[in-house]
Amino acid sequence: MISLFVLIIIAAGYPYGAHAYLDPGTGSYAIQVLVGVVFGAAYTLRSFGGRIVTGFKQRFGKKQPADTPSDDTEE
Amino acid sequence: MTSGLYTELSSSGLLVSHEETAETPAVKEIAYKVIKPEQLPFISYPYEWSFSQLKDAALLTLDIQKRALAHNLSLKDASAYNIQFVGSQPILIDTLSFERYEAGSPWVAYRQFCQHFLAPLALMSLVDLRLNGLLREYIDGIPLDLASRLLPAKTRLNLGLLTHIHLHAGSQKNLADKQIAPTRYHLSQEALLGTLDNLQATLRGLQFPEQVTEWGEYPDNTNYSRAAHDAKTDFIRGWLEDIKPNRVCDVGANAGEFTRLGVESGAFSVASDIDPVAVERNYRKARAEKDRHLLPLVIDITNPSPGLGWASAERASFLERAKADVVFCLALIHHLGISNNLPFEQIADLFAAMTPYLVIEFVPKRDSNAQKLLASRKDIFPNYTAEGFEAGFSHRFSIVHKESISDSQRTLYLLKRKD
Repeated sequence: MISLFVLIIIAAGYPYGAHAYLDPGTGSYAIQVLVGVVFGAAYTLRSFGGRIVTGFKQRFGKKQPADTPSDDTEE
Repeated sequence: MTSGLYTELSSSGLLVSHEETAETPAVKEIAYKVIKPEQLPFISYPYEWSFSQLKDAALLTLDIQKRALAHNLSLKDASAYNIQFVGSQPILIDTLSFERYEAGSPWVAYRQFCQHFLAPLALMSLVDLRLNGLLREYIDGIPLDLASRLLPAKTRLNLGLLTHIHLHAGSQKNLADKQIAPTRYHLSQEALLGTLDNLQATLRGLQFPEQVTEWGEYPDNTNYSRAAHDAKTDFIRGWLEDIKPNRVCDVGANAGEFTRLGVESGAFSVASDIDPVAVERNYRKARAEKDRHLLPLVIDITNPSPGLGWASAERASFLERAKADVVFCLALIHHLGISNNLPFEQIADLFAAMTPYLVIEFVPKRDSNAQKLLASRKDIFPNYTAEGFEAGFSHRFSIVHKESISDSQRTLYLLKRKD
C-alpha cells in the first residue's frame, strides 16, 4: 500500500459507464437522477435566491433616491 | 495536474503530494508515469476510526469532489480507504482517483459514498456507536438495504436519509437485474452540486450520540491522586527523554493523557483504546489542536483488527501495522491478566512482537480497580502477583527501571526486550 512507493498512472480518459473503474449500480444512477431534480432545484434557488430577493426588494421595496432598475440576469 | 487541482489540494494539505520518478514501470506498455507519494507515518482503517474521524473523512471527500468539479474533474471512487489520517488531520491518498467530468453524467461514486460513509455514520449516530464494527464485515461499505432496515423509522422523515439510504436501497433492489446503458441517465451539474450539498448537510446533521460507555468518563473517575498522577507522568517523561522514540503506541490509552507524553518527546504516537467515547474525546482534542502527531484509534487489544479482504491481506492487521519504538501498557494489565485470563508469558509475547521498549504498570489485586474485577468472580489467579508478573515477563524482557508510584498500589516498569 503506502509502503510500496511506486504507482503507475494509467492515462485517464475511459468513456464513462462503458469501462467505469467502479460499478456505479443501475439503482444508484436511477435514484440520483430522480432526486437530483429536487436537489438541483434547491441548489439553483439557493445560488440565485439572493439575486431574486434583491430583485424583489428593488422593485417592491421603499423608493431609494438612487433607485436603479433591477437587472434581470439570464439564468 | 494541468488543471490546477493538484496544486490546490496538495498545498492545502487535502491530498498527498507526490513526485514523479524515473522508476521502470512494471508493465511498460500501458504505463504513463511512475509516481512516488509522500509517505505517511501510520495506516489506519475506517473500522478503527471514531465517529468524528469517519465524519471528517466523509466531509473531506465531498469537499474534494466539489473542488474537483470546479476544475472539470470528478472522483471516480469514494471509498473510505482513500482517506488516511496524519495524526488528527484527514487527507486523500488516492491521487489517481480523478477523471474528467463529463457534463450531464451522474456521479459514478455515489453508491460507494453512501455505503462507506453515510450508512455507517447514520447507524452510529441513530442506533448505536458500536455499529461501525459492520465496516469490518462489509469491506465495501454497509449494504444500503441493511442500513435501511436497521435505521429507525423516523429517519424516513429526514430528506437526506430518506433519499440517499431508504429510497436508494429500494432503487437498488428494484433495478438489481436490469441493465440500462449509463448514457441514458442525465444529471445536470446543478443537480449534482445540489446532491453533494444535501449529502454534506445530512452528514453535518448526524450528531455524536449520547451514549454511556464503560470508559467514556474514566479520566474524571480514576483512582489516582494528584501526587500519583504526577509521579507517573514524571517517570514516563524521563524515560522517553532517554529513549527518544520515533514512534509510540499507547495500548488502552483512553483519552490520550499519557500518549501526549509521547508526542511531547517528538514521537508519532498512536492512542488506541477499546472505548469509542474515549477515542472520540481524544480525537476532538487532537483535532482542535491540529495535532499531526497523535492518532487516536478504536482498538480492542484482546481482539485487534485482523487482516481483511482478499487473501486476508488487503487490509493489514493492526498488530502488523502497530510496531513501535515504545509501547505503553498503563492501567491495563489487570484487564488482560484477570478479566481476560491471559498468562503473563502470553502478554509478554504480544508486546515483544510490537516493540523493544515497554512501559508497563503493574496493578496488584489489592488495588481498588482490580478489586472490582474480582468482585463477581472466583479468584483463580494465584500467579497474578508482582513476582508472578516479573517472572512471566522475564523470558522476553529485562527490567531497566522499576518505580513504585507514590500514593498508589501500582508499580511502573520500563522493560527492554531481550534479543
